[in-house]
Amino acid sequence: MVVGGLRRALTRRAQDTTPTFRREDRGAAAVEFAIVVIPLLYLVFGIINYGYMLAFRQSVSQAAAEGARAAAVAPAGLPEADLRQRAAEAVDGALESYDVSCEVTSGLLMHGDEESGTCQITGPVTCSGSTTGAQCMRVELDYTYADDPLLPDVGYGIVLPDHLKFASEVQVS
Amino acid sequence: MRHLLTRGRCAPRPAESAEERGAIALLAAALIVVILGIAAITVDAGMQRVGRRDMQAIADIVSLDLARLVNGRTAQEIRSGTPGFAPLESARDASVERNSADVVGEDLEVRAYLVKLDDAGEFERDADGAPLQVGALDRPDAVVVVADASVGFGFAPIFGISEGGVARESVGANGESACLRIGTLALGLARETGSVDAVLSEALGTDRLDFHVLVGAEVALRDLDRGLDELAPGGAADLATVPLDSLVVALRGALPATSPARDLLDELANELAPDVAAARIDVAALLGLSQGAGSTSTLRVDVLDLLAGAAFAVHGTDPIAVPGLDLAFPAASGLPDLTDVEATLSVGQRTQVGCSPGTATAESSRVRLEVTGGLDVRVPETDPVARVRGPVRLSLTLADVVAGLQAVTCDERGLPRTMSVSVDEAAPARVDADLSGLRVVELGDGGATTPLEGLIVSAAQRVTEHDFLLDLPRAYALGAVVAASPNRSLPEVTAADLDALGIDLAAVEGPVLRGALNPLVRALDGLAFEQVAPALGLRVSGVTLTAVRTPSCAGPSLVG
Repeated sequence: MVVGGLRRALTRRAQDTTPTFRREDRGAAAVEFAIVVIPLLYLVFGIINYGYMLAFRQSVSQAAAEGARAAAVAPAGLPEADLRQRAAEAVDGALESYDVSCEVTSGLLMHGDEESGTCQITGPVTCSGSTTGAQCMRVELDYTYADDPLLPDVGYGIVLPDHLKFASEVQVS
Repeated sequence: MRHLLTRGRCAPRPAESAEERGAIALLAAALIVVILGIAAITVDAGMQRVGRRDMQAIADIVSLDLARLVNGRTAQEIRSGTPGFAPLESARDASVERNSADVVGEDLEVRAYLVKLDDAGEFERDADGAPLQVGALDRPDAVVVVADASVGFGFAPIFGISEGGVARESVGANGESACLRIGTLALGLARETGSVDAVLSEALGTDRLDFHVLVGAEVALRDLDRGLDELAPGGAADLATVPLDSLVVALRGALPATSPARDLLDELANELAPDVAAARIDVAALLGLSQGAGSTSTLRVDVLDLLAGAAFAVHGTDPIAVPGLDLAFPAASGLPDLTDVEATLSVGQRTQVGCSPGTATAESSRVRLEVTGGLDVRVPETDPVARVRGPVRLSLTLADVVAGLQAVTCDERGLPRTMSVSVDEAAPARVDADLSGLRVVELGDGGATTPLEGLIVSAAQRVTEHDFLLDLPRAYALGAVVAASPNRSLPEVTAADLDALGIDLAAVEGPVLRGALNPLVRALDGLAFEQVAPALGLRVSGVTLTAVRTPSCAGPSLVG
């Protein structure tokens, strides 16, 4: 009884399908999916791209602060060049994972071998706003993200910032 | 049947196809909503994270700036300002102004709290969780900076949330810094005598060189580091392990061109024994320095000390014999009954430098004197009169001292004024006597003979601790400060010491103690303090403490 019912159901289902209808719809779902999935993937990669930029922006502020900190905690009496070198090394340490480094002599931020902004480590000079003649070091990073995005730019530049900047100025004596 | 099943799976019914039309669109719409939601969270949460990172950056920098104000003054003085130091609030505002241009967030507020840290580096908080500030007349030792701002959301306003607060905290302290060299032994103190030449020549495998020309020669550790880098191009590690001959060459290069010590180092580099020249020296370990401690770059190193340390390092833990030291033993000690005396003097370990108050220690080197001889002494005080005779071996160890740099105090102008050092003399002088070859013979008819097989006795000067407060000169003209101890002699061995050995010596303890052992200890005491120590320039039960770099009160650091 059960076997007979199943056979009838299968037979009816097979008869309901006409060859004409199959030709019209075959692949339509795939095409629709392709049309939809492309913008979806674009959005997904956009999220990744934006998130990566934000992570890098955090590293830029961390790098500037670390560079300033390295100069601040250096022993008193250290030559100025050594202070700047210490700051640059701290910046490099913070940005190393992005293959970004600071060239203290040229004042450039390098992404690999490409110039990707500026890395100005200046001082010691009188701290701005100081009434006691305190000396400060300034670490100023400016990464031109629009020119050298860390991930491939496939039109996301509209929503991504042109520059990622952060500056820290700390007293060294 | 199989055919039907296959057709049924592959070819949908017209009715179902019609129902499924638009399903992809619905699915896409749902996915877009989900993805846009994720994007919204990414942007808003990401900006929050950036805001937090920026708050941390500004809190760190401001606390480093303000930590310089925490230099031993009272909270009231810090808040109101004293000559040379801006008031806390204006210093805070200036620091914030310098560092807030690129900060993400609105309504930035930075607060500073003057606090006192406990031993664990923690500070108390009030009921609201804010750092508990010290009283106006108390002297804080750290400053807590809290940076607070609000970051606007891009998408969350849909749900009625327009912004989120971000706050980060940083604790800055103004750590004093100094380095300490302990010179209980060593060659650093033996400069007025000839022993330094003998010891170093022996240790380095050279003919006797006049190492005295190195006295007073110093090099900047930074220059030495550069010299070592040039000798080993491509070597990335600072102060890495280097061959001794390279160290000598680098030391020479770091000296001023007019220094007479350069010629000596030239001569030394040529005369080093091959195995000694190739021995690798860990310079950083030798100086007791750690990388990144922030104190290495300006440190000036005494060339003679470094060379002596390297010489000891080459020999590892093996002591280095000191030849040519003419010890008048026992003639000058009042113990003429010791014959066939052989004395060997050796020095081991190395001088050390310790930095970083609170954690740094420096250990002295050690002098070991071995004396063997034959004892034949009559002890008339005993009844019956006894005679003690046989071979003895005595070992005298001097100068096992550890010094710890406790703190550097600063005055109201932020200048270092004192440096406190604790000295722990674990065993400043110790005698080990092997008397197992001695025999006690009772004189007279039928006198018994008692062998002292297995009798080994130790006597050590009692352990002492001293705290010293060194007045730092205003001009930082660093010099040696000698701390003398009142305990300057070895203790006599008592019967209790013998009992402790578990040997029944009741019958012979009088002769052993009075006739043999304690006279020997007294003789060694005289030998140690009147001959060996002066010859080596050693100050037993006293140390020479030297600040070897300019102590500083302005060493801000983040401690939390």
